[in-house]
Amino acid sequence: MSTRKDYADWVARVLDIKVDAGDAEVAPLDLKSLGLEVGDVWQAAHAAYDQATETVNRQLTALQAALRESDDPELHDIADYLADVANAGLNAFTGGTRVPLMAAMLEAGNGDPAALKAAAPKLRKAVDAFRKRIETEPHIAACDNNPFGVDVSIVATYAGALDQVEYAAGLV
Amino acid sequence: MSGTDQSQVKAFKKAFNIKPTEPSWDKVKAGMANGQKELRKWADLLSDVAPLSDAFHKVETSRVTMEEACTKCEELYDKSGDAKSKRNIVSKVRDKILPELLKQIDECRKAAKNLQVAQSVHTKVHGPDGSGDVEHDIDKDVAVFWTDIPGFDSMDAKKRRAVMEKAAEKTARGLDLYDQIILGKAPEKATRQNVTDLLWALKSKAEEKNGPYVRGAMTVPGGDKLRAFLDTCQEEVYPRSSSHLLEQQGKAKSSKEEMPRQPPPGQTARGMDFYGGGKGLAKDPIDADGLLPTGMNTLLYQQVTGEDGEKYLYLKMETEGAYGSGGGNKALDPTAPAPRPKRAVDTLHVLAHGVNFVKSKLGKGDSDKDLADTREETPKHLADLAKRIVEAVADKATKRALAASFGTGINWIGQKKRVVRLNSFLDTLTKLAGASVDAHRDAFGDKATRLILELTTAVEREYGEDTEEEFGRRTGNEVMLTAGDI
Repeated sequence: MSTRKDYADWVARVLDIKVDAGDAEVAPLDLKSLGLEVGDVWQAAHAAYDQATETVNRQLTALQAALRESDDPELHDIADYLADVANAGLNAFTGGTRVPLMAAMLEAGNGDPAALKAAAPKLRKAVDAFRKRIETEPHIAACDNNPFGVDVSIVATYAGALDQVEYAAGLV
Repeated sequence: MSGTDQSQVKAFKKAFNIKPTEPSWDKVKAGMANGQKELRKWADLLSDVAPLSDAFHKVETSRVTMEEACTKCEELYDKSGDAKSKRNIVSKVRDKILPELLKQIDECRKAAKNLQVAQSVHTKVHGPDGSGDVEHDIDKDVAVFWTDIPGFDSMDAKKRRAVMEKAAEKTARGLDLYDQIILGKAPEKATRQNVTDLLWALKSKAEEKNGPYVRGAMTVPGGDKLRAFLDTCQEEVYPRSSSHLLEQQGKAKSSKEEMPRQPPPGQTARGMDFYGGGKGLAKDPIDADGLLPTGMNTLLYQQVTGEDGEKYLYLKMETEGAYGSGGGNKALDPTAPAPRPKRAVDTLHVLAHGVNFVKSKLGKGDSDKDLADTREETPKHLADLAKRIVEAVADKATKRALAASFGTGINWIGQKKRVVRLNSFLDTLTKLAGASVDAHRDAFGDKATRLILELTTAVEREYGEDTEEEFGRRTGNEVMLTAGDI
């Protein structure tokens, strides 16, 4: 049996909601005990994804600025490339995986249970593909491990949001 | 950057598979020539219209400095003997000179476009009876903005001076007409000429207050009198639909929390078209009597009621008319004018209007990024903050009350949607919990209060502190003219 703290940690990680933990062993928390409905979880997941995208764009902007500070024209070229990537919605990084994810998220709308249920299989498949892509894309790895001291963490930034989307899709 | 591990930098570059590009002298040289030409263009224009202005001084200084820098680079390139030195010069031009040139062009273009030219006007106009028998003198100092004159930047110096005088004259006549209307001495009938005079005048005042703009909206005091005067232009006026300020038109979504469905009389939208300057007038900016500023072709006007109960006129000049849209408006507004006779081109204009509407909703509308944005829509970042405030409020009744202060707009596929109206949103916040941070924290919670502070700080930063009258009217970025401004 899991402890309430396990669930509280899980809720905090996946839903980004803090709940009172305590130590007693309890049955798993359900949505109602958190005062949430499926639509709330979905909307939080959607917002988390949007937030992650904004954060990644900010990180890439900071990296571009650092690259442009150098006198190395090749680093300037990489900065230009990163600007193009950001302007094109990160498509060059995410390959063909972002658009199906966005389409499935659009299909889920505001998280109405019927719409979410219809979109759920596509969401799970799209999240899986998107996650695999960002975890293996060499440009993303290079940015995440850049040697210029700029805090970039594309994979980690998206990880929590993708967890949330996946979790919401599993509720219906 | 100097302390960075070079082996890691090499690995970083390798990940991106960057191959060094061979810089081309021809390309960077052409870039320098084009940049200098562009700077010369703005310097010439300012030398024609405002040779003593700070703007001209700034542009001319930039032009001379950049010309010297470019000439120096060309000399160095010609003198350098080996390929490596030549490559270094090309790289320097590409990485330092051209970006600086672009920056200077940007700044000079903005300085030129935001220039205000003062003109003194001495003229005569016919008296208020419209007969032409009575005349009175006008002596006014007015501001003219060359960006209001289509094609100005490609005119020669002589034509520029002539058209500036014409625009100044229209502006002075329009200001005089505004005074007459407010004093109850308006001519019996509005004509194409005096309507366009009035619009040149009001736009000049709006631009004096907010900076020049191409497209945008304004609200003006004396809304009932101005609306009644414009309604008398029977050969041009027609009722129309409008996607702006729906709640003022009694067209908001039905809901207990919203504005009443029946608007005060006079608050439905009207239009007038001024394509080509009108009958008998050529579409030449010098012959501007029937033309609107910035080449706009149509006027949308709506009387609105401010939070203070005063009547204002919402005015927006657009590129395409909307004759026949909206179904007449008589059911909602007994004062809605009868439409002028339909013209063959009206349908084409309505179609073009629809295209512009969709373009603007997609963020691709025609505008000038160098000039101010004066539409009444709340800027996205402020609207987002307002939405986040509502989201952050825990109490459902408070949340509903705040959400109810949003107005109704139309999205790009024609569906109604909720939109943030800054004035009513801030007003509702104050009504619910006063203006103190402590009261806000009690009513809305810590997170929402932090966001409210963020929003009010941003509003003050971007709009300055509004007067009480302006605060009551503001719905977004529109220019709010007060009696004092005019």
